[in-house]
Amino acid sequence: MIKKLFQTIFFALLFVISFLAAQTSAQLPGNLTALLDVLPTENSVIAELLLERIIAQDDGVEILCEALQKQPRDSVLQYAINGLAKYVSQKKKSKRRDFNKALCTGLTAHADGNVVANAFVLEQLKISASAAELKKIKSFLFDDKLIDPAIAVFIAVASPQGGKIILNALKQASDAQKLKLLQALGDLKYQPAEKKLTAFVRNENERLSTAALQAMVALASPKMIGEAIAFHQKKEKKTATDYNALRLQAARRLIAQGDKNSALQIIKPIDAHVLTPHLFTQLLQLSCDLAPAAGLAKCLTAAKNTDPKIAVAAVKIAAANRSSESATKWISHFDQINAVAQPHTVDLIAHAAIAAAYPFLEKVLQSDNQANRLAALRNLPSVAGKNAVPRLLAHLQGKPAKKEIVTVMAVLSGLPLADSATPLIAKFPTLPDAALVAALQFLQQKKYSGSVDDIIALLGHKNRRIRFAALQVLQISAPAKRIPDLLNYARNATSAREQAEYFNTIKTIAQYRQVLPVQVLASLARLQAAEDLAAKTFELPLLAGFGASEALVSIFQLTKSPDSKLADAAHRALFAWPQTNALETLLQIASDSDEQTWHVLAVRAIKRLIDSSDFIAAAKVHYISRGLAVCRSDDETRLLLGSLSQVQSADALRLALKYLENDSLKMAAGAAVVQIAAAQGYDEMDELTAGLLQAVLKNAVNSPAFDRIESGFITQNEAPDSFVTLFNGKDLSSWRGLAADPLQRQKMTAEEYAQAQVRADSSMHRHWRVEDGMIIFDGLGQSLCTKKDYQNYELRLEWKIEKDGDSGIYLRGVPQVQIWDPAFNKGVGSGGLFNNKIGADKPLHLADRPIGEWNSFRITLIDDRCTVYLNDVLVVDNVVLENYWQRDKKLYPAGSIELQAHHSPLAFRNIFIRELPPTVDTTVVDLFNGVDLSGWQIIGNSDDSWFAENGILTTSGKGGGWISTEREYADFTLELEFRVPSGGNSGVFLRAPHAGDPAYTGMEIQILDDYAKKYAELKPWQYSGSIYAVQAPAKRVSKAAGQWQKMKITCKGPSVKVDLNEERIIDTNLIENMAKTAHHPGLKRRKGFIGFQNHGARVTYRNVRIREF
Amino acid sequence: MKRRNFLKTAAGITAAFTIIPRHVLGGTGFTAPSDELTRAVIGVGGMGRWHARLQNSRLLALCDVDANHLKRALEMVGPAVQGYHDFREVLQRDDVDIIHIATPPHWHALMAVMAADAGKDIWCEKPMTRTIGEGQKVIAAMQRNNTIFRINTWFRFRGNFYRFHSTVAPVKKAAENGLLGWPLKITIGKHQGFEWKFFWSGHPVAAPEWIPDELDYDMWLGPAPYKPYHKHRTHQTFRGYWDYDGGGLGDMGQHYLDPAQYILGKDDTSPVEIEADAPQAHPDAVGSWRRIYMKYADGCEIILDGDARDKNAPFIEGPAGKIFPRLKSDIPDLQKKLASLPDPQPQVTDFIEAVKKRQRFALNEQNGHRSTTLVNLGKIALQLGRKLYFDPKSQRFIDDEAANRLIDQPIRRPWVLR
Repeated sequence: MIKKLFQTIFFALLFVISFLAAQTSAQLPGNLTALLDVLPTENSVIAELLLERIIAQDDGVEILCEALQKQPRDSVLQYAINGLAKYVSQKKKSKRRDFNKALCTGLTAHADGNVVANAFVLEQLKISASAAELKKIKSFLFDDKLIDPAIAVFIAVASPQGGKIILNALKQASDAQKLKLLQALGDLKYQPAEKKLTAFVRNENERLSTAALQAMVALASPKMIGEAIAFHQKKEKKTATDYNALRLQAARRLIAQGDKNSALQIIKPIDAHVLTPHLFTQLLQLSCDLAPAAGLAKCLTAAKNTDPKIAVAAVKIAAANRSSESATKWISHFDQINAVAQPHTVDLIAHAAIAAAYPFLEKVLQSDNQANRLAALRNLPSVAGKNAVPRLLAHLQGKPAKKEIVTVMAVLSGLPLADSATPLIAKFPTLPDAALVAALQFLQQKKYSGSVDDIIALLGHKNRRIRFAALQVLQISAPAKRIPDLLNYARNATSAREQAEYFNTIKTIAQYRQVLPVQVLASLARLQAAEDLAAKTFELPLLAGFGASEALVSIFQLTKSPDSKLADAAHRALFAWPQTNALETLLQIASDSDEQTWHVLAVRAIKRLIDSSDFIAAAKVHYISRGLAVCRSDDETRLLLGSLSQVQSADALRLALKYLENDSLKMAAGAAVVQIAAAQGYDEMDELTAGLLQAVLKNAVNSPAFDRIESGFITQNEAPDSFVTLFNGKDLSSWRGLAADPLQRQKMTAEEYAQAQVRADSSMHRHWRVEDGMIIFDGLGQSLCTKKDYQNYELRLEWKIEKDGDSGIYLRGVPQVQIWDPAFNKGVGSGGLFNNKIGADKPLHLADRPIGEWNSFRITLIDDRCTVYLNDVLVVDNVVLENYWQRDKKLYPAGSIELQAHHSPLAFRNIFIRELPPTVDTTVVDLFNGVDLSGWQIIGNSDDSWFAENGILTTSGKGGGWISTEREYADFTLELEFRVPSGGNSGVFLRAPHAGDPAYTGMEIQILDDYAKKYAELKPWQYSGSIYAVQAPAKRVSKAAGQWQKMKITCKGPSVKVDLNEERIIDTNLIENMAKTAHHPGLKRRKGFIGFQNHGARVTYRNVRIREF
Repeated sequence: MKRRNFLKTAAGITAAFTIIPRHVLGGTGFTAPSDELTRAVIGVGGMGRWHARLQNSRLLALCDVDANHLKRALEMVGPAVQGYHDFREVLQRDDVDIIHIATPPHWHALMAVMAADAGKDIWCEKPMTRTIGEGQKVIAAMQRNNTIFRINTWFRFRGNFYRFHSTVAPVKKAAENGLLGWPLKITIGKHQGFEWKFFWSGHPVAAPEWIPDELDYDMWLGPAPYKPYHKHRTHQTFRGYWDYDGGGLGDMGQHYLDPAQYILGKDDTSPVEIEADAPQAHPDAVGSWRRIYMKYADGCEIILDGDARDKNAPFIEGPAGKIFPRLKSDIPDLQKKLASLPDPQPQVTDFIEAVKKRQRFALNEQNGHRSTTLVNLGKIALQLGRKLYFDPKSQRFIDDEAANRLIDQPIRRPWVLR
């Protein structure tokens, strides 16, 4: 159904596309292009419909293959051809055959074509080919570039025809190819190759001979393999030992073929005594496979070996071939078996299902080997059946080690609880303490709810760990009616902790049953009656634990009791109260109590209950406000302001604002205001509150509280769009100490500079710190620098100084945009380029804010020109920043930004930078200075064969050779102009060495009079702009002889692009041309000299410029 | 001589039959290993450096085909550790007990088989192998050599399962004891790893680049088909290419599929139906997908939900109930019911102990192969874009030759994996 729907939509879609398609690709017929435009498809249903259409197209596949030759990396073509290969692979044979045929036709036609394309097509044949196609791709077995994907097709098809073709191919192949073909024969297990392989074992080439031998082992021809190994050994002068692994491998193959006799023959020469442990175990396995009885006997012997690898493997091999008789033998030899292998042997015997197994386990359980005992315990359920539980429990009775207890419990865990709980509890009186604790923990984990009496009885146990473990079980199992029993035990508790544990258990029991048990109510009644004071004192914390309103009044009454112990307990019970229903009572105590301790504890309890409550904001503010009213000290007030800061409401804000006026509380109140306001957002505030807040903020300027309040509103240190932050508000991770000024640095070695940097960083950490989102300087150390160097940028930052403070911002390591206190500097403001001698050194305006307030800088530096805005006022307008360190030089092209230390405390924040692109490309270099040949050297000719005149580089045209740069270049854009005389010839050499013919040892971009008659018959890759002998220009754009022509060559990694007269004529990747490197090794070079060829003509060059990457 | 030239001048690959440590122990005079086991790590990129930092055995050697990786890792571990370019030299060392394989997945099978045939025990990164056929060969090699083998994922026995906020043990118990009924369906959501690994898609069209000097690219490729170098194909981003792995599914798949297989009790079998909903797959570059569906013969299902259609994933459901993250369930008193039921079989979860006592590790080559197969079945369904039918016993697809060709993928000569 869905498929049909898709079909309808799809054809409608296709109809529309076919109208639009014609212009999308010139190379393919319009209807194919339309189909390809939908690739890759969103799902497989559409893909199938589409591919079906491509196949239906006449020559569709051929056309795609043809296009792929030209554009081997066109992903849409790849999607199409690969989609088809997958599609036809499960379709009717005829479709698959036609598709494969088309692929093969394309391949054969372009056998010397694009390697990437051909490899791709072979990979598709790996999916779709059948045996019929194999002979068509045979020729690629002799192509070093394509033999691997070709063999992969043979392996994938895995047919005897393929084996035959490969076998025949061996005659023609090179040695390197033969090696791969021999391996393929082994992988194909092509039996008829046997003779030929035998012959190859005799080959002088050791790699071929060995590959042939390995292939024979893969075939495992019974008659020939033994002989072949013997021959190989003799030929290569090796020892028999070298062949053991191979013999074992061959034997496994033979057994798999059902030929046990031959297998036996092949392993016969193996000397078991020289085998490594793992090969020894291989032999052991084979022995068992070949002759089980003898093999098992060998296993038994091997199990006694001192190497655990061998011993354990022997037991495991035997276990896989287990038989009841042999299990008896293993029992009798048990003591002699390697200790590591013994637990495995216990497994073996247990799994053998023999009557003797149980007595054996029993013996092991009583032995003194713990690892064996553990193995026996693990195996008890399968061997002992119903007896397993009692036997496991019996094991707990002796003196079991911790590991054994854990194992017993783990084994019990794997059995139904119903089988183990009752017997386990019956054993309680006889269990050692550690086992009893583990048993109780086991019952707790199993949420066991029976045998309450037995477990309550344990509360009288002398071991505290047992009592505690029992309580944990009772939390789950005890019914509410057993609470009095627990209370009785609780009274005799030996420590406050234990008593708390009892009370916690009682509370859990009660809560779990969701009742306030009558027993608790009874306690309550006792509290109200003037009875036993001691009992009351004892039960108070328990009652408090429930937080029941019924108890609240009674307990509050008791706080007034004349008995100080009882009053004390009542107070503490209230202070630990878990529910908010005690708030009123606590407020009353806080307000009325004369005892300072009770007052303080009550306020803290109030805070705790409010903080943890789920009250709505209004209720919280209500109680906080009442709490604040009863506070007797600033400390207490601060405590509750802390609670207030967590409440998000206008009421909360108003309440906090009240405390701002109090000098000793304004810090705490300010913090609360900020937190509340920041969480709530200014927009949501009512006008009254907002107005109030603003007024407060205004008054609070210059106070630390103000900074905090303000920073609560404006997100600090978060970069605006397109800027990056230089200061994250938390640490100095973008910064370093100033190690040396540019002049000093020039004189230092790298090592000295590194040491100076270490010292500078250590100084930085002493004097610069981060506080509240600000960088603070203590006025004593050195300047702070960015770790990174910057060229052009817009820098934004905020600064604050104290009275008579002084600082500045260094740009590219050069002083400085001035920061100072205008009052102490004749009223001249900050922002000027203080060290300028030629250009302006003072700001255009006084734009500083009063000392103590934040000022903002916006500094733009482009090349050596600087513009500064101070508090949004333009104070420096595009003025050259002069080089203070080297007055005769321009500003350095790059350098760090520095915050100047000038003996006064400073603060900075919101430091952001946006890097700007260089305006002039300083990286472009003239290779030819127009005056002389400096920077050049002549290769293969006399020094006068090239000369400079009037800005032009010319050759005499005599004597050949070339002119080369003095240094090498790797990745670059080279621009130049050239002029060829009529019939002239030259070339631009790239990445060339000085040896050999640079057109081949490097590469050459051709320069030629393309229109000369004598060049009419050249190959396309010989005309101007071609990569000579490699790639022809995409089109002819050269001008007539005698005219200046422009050329631009870009080499970036293997990518080479050539523009001639502003048109792109070469865009290639050298890796595609690696097939040509045998004759043209220069294509592999990653760097070399650049030069011009002297090819017998007076060729001229000018404006030769290079930009390196 | 440059290290990478070693191969060309030394005996090379086929001249040595099998890599056997030079020191052959004789007769009954086998020496017992010392108490402290030793190890070597092959592949010291991101995960390899994690393996290098482990403290449970003594590190003797590191190996990488990228000289920079190797240098960095050697600096990290100090001078007592020897660096290697060619892992076969590491396998020759008879003082190394355990080989940690932390290379990209296309090397796992070959290295595991060669290491086992050299008598080493193995700690292998996930996914165990890149193809189902390679997994079968690894099993054979571990069996014939009695190797102790583990895969580096652990959720079936330790740690909270991704986004489930619980270990898998209680769910296993519920499944095993029939609390949920049968058959079961496990839905795994995109937030369990493959979402943030979707960026491991490949670039379908990446222009070749020069191979960096520090990288022996031919050795990095090893058994993988030769494709021109592009940096995106290698370090960190190699999972975006079918030649080496299978995107986020390849990387994270075994982490969440192995516990699912364990819960369903399918350690010795595989699904019979697999279907993927995804855009058409590129032959080389791995892309994203929307949903992968797998069904076992008994009706149990695993759903990988790649576009977060199922809320609250991961969860498990059966005819009698569902269990959601944090063990929330529509079964009343689930936790109490679980407590009284028998626990699942205990597992061997300390690899070093397992090696010393020669015990089979909890997640070994056998059950590990089956959970890797889940990943590999998903990959094949994604690549072919059609529903697949699988025979878990023969481990072949039914009636789909192209799919079967993806089970045993030929490896590049001169490497041989038999």
